[in-house]
Amino acid sequence: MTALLSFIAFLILWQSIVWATGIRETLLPSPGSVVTSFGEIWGEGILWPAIVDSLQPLFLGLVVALVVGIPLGLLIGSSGWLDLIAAPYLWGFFATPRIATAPVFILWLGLGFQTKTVLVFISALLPVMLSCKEGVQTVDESLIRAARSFGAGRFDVFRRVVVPYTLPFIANGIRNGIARGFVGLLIIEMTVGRGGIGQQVIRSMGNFDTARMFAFTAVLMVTALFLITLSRKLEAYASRWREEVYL
Amino acid sequence: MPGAEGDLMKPESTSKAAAISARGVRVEYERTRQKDKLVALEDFSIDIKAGEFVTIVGPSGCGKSTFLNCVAGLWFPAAGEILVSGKQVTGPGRDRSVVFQDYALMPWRTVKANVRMGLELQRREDDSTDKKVAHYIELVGLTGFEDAYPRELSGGMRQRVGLARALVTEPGILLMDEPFAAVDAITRELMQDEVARIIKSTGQTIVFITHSVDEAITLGDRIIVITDRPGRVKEILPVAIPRPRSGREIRHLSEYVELRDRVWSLLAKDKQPAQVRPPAETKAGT
Repeated sequence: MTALLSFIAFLILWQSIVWATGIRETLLPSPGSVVTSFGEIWGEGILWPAIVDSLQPLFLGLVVALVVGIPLGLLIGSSGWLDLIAAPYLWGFFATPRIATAPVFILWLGLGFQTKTVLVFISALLPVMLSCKEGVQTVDESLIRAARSFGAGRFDVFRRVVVPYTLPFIANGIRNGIARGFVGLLIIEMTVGRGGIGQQVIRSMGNFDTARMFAFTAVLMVTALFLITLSRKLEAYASRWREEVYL
Repeated sequence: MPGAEGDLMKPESTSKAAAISARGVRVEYERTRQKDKLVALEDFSIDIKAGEFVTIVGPSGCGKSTFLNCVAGLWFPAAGEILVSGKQVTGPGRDRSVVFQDYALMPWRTVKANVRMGLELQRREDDSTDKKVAHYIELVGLTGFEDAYPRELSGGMRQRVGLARALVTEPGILLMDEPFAAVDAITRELMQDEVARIIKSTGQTIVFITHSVDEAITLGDRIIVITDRPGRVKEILPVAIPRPRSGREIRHLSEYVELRDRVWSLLAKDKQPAQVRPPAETKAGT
């Protein structure tokens, strides 16, 4: 309820600024013109294809990143020497902005759908792997000792202590993976295009149709909000047995 | 009361000989930073009879927990041998259970699931498991909390879960590593009474580590006083006070006071400044 009220207040403020300053339409469109743009987009039938063009590579890239990243991350976390070898590379790639590495992938893979998926994949993979790795490495020693005191072998310890303990970390990794994957997606869409909402934003910018640009940006924001809220709920659910919940 | 519980209570070891026997045990830890070896126990020898309640008392860092870990099969001596029921300890076993100072409950499992865990890990679940779990939860006084999570319980309650978990596998030997150190003083006294009551009905061999002299006298049949590191058996004192003993009631007895003075004088002679903790014995994944 409060969110709705503050949104309305925001809209009123926005409209007031446009009226008061008489600012150019191409710089700051009024809320009204953005809504009109929405109607146009809807009528032209380009909204839904753009959304699909964005979400498809996003989901595909994310799923692959999870399928690959979770087991790999857990494995690296469980092995001392693997961690030693891999950690510098993981952190190195993690720290590098993907916009720097994107051109390489475009060169290798061309401008197709697959490039978007790949970039989402590598953007999401690292946070997932790193969170899983850290989860395994921070398992409470005393829990492992307790399991071992009942005769648990390596596999039992992993299955019954490490994995449940790590689930909140995995959920956290997924959340970060989604956020970064989304950015990876937009990098491609906004630089070289190939469909999607990001490309529409840039296209409208090129046409000086700021109202339309705002409209598409709003769609982006709503999509991002939706995805992040989902993953935060997942994370809260996975972390429910923890004394403190990290959101 | 003993009859009804009798058939659920079959400790894995019923040997009449020493239940636990240590001979010339030497335990070392490697200190990676200082690149040397820390000797936790040196020439440590003891015989513990089946059905005895033995309390081990000593200054911090003297190796008491180390001995317990070795009996539990979680750590191994560099020299000497540790025998349980005449057989060398090669690892954890069904005949021994541990109760930990920090409870070590799985936070994502309910009380019921935690108590069950030992049987799960030992692959001993069957039709009687639910009944056993319920029985021990009742024995430790947690009926009604079966579906609670550890974070919803107080320290004393969590330790009861730890105790139930250790008991449900019906081991012949119960190893308790300063179980009440993390519990407040009032609860601690009450839990001592509880443990004495519970143990009376299960009849197991207990090795109980504490750094509270009062606790050692109140609970033990014999008190083993350990020297400071490297730990050795300094003296073994029998406790002649008849059971049942309630800490609060026996405090003024002359036997109690004498024992207390004796133990304190043994400990005081030996006092050294607080030592470094031995490094963690296990690592995730290894």
